[in-house]
Amino acid sequence: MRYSKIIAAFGALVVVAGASTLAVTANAMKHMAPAPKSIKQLIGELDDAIRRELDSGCVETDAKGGKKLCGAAKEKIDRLHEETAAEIDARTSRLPGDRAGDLRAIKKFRGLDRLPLTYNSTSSNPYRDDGSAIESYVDDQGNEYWVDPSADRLVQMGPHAGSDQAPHQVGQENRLPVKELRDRAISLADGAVDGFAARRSSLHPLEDNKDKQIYFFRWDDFSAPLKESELPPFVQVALYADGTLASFTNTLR
Amino acid sequence: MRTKMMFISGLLSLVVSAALAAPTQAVTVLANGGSYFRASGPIQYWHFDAGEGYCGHLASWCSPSHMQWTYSMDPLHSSNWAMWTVPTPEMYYSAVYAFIPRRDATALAFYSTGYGYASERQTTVNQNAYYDQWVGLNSGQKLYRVGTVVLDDNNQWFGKSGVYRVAFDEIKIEN
Repeated sequence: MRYSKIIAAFGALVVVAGASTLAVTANAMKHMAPAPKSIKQLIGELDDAIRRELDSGCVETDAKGGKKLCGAAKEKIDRLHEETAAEIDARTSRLPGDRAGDLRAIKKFRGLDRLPLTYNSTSSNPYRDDGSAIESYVDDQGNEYWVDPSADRLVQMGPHAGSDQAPHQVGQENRLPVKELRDRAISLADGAVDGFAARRSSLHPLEDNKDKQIYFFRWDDFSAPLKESELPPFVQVALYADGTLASFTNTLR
Repeated sequence: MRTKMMFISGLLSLVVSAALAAPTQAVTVLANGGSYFRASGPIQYWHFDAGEGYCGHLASWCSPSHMQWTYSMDPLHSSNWAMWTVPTPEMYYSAVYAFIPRRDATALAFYSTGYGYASERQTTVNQNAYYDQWVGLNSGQKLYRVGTVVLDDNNQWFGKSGVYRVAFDEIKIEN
């Protein structure tokens, strides 16, 4: 009888302790963040939202016969599209703290320590057929920059989409001799491309212009076999006739 | 591990398995020719440069071996345009690149990218600043389910001093 009372008391204790544990666990779960959605889920939600708006939202037909979202449907999908893009990029790209080398490379190339740069996204490198990436930035002067994250190396710089709303026309009084432009291009490439001075004699040089307004100085590397969809690696400096830098590319390996 | 499929009619589909959290990487190149390309407008306004452009003198796997161009027009009198259509749009975000050829690419070109079934991103690209190279159409912004790219002869520089030519060549879509 005494033992039964002890057992009963012990049992009650276990029940109370168990209930407390459950309560604590339930409370903790109530405050836990939900598991993050997978990329597949994020894409699925965006796709579902678009289909819903196509079924019941504002849709119009454009001049070329295509359907286009409009009004509140467009605003809603545009916002969701941007949010989903940012979420996916945050998961598939380097952490912002790991991209400091990109910023240094761009600022060094431009010689502007305080150049404000905005990161846009990480994408596949269109010059490579091996899955390698580029990190894309824009500055406040209308330029876009691509940086190879494996080496924090500038791959391309030039006017970004939407910039240059006025043409850069150079009058006769501001034109530089081609020799001066060539010297500037070589100097710029020397400073921006590691080992360029030593490699230049083995590269194939090319000079050209468009309407004598913009001059291109290019050095192609035809020495290595390539995948058939790739361009031969090259360095290229584009200068307007007054010496202003228009674009720069370095895809040497 | 890589699988590559090629069609000399002007389409390259490249599928690369990569150790990314993202879905399988895919690359599509659409040429200015073949069944995925439609050029519209008076034929006399289209000009063709043989042996120029990406397929014209840099890539041997694809065709056609020319790029085409037209003079840019007052936006109110735009007449010629072309559309590249992705045969099977990727259900993912992609970057869109245009190949800017070295010849007859001197305008501020007006591109529209169709994405997400029924959305459109319009932008301009200074073709004059580039020479036989790839250029991003959306400043690094990737778009979901890219389906079409349209380029027309509408040019914001029209009326400024100079003669401007809009070049139509390959389009590349990568995720």
